[in-house]
Amino acid sequence: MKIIALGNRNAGDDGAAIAAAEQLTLDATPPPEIIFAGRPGTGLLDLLDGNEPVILLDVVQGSGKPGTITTLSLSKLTQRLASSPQTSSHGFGPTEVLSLAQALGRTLPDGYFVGIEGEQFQTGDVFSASIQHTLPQYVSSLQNLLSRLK
Amino acid sequence: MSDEHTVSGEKTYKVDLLTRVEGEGRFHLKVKDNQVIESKLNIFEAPRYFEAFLRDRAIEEVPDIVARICGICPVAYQMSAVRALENGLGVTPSSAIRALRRLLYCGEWIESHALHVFLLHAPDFLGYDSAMAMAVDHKDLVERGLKMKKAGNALIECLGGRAIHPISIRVGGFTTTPRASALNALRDDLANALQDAIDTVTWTAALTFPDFNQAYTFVCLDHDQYPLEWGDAIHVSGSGRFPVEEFFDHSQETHVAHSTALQSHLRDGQTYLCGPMARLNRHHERLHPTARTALAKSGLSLPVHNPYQSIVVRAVELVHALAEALDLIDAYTQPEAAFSDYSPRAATACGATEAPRGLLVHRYQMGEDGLIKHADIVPPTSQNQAQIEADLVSIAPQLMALAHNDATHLCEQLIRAYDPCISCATHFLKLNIENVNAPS
Repeated sequence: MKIIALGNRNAGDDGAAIAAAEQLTLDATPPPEIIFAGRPGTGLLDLLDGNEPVILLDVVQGSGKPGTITTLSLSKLTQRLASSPQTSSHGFGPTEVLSLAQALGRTLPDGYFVGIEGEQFQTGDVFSASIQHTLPQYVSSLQNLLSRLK
Repeated sequence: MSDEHTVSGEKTYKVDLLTRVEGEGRFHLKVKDNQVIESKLNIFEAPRYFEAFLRDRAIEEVPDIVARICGICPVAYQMSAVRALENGLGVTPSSAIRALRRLLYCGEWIESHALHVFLLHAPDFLGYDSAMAMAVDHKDLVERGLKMKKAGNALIECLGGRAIHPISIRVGGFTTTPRASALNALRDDLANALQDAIDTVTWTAALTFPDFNQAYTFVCLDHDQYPLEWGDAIHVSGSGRFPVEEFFDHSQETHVAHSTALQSHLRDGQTYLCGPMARLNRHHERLHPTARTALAKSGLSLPVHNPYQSIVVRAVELVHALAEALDLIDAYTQPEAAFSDYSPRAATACGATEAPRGLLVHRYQMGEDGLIKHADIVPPTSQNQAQIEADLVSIAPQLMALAHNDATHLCEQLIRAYDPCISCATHFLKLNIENVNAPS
């Protein structure tokens, strides 16, 4: 099982998935192997292997109340999350990348997307109060998912 | 998204979101009696204050800070920064270090150009809204682009420590240099990508281009090699060359009310174009022989004055970067020293390199204490911004004769031809074309 944490730790709540992944490595023995991929754009394609299950961690925007945790199978991700019409390299998020992989006929890995709704994305490494409050719950959700998948 | 609205002879065309550019902005074109009375590239993304962040930071921190300006071209920011700092400190990197930096820069050109040619610009020519839509019908093309981009990223990762925001560049050289075996391991993928790039030149040259030749003033770095990581002079077409340190005497940045990015003009007020077309027109004879051959076979006429043809030019530069990368790898032996030492001193100095999108100039004032006192960074998109506005004025007569959606697409395609990185200079572009008193 591969774990990929996405986000920018210098863009406010966008660093929440990274912070949660770091906490996972501190809490588990042995720590899970996590790829901190930042915002890889289409580079995420290179991290996905159709034969290896994956958990994608990311911060989402616009799907609900700040701090809301969303868990989706990867097969449902492209249907359930709104895709921005902007497909600049900066705009290639996990949804766009998985859609591109599907269009190319690539086999999508099994796995899950676990997202947390962010609130503010200003420059800096300070989380909003909503994220600060719900981050422990996000980490617990991830720990539970990992336990279930073992 | 676009709509069309006609009231009392006024015709307004509006696009709420221009896709496949880096960053956010809006364009407004107002036409009255077939005359353009207003053309604004409105960049509203918040200023990012990197020049202010750099003040009172240590010289050693600069490459890592400026790399954060852009995830697509961080190497360019690092290279221009170290060139300026080294000029001020009197440090001349060894030829081995220069070659290694050029190799790293080739990696960035490869990943950036492959991304733009295949995923951002190609959908315009093939009639798709996105690379995802294009991938359904043109899987081989998209896979080719992704493969080339991956080869470029692998080169950056090998030399820079990681593919995005690399960490190995430092004043005087690198923090560490790779073993030859690490670079040789990349050779097969780069050689395959080179063949793909040659095929890409042929493919792009066969595309259909709108008729839009413009009398540009081209500005690029001057060097005895195809300009990339090095060059002490800047060339302005029609008026000659000047030392890089005089850049701010020849180019002027101004603030315009409708943009959070500064706009550049030459001191006489002239707009100018930097980037792949400027480089190729000035330096085509300095292309790698493999790229020269690909260019000759393409049938592309030089000088190139049609921005829509920049997709061919980028393909030629892809060949150049890949061929040169292979040569550099074949000639590589690991340097004995990864960097040259230096001592801080008070100085003000400029450095310039050719980012994938064009000339990137940095100027730093340093103190004896080794801290940055002042920084100026002039990205290529800032320099091209006024020229993009001028181009949209020039293309307006063609727009008026077209159906709304076709006119809108022509504008978007033109803007994308510049591969603008608004996030570097500053995210969406909204386009308004308002035709005042147009016949309803």
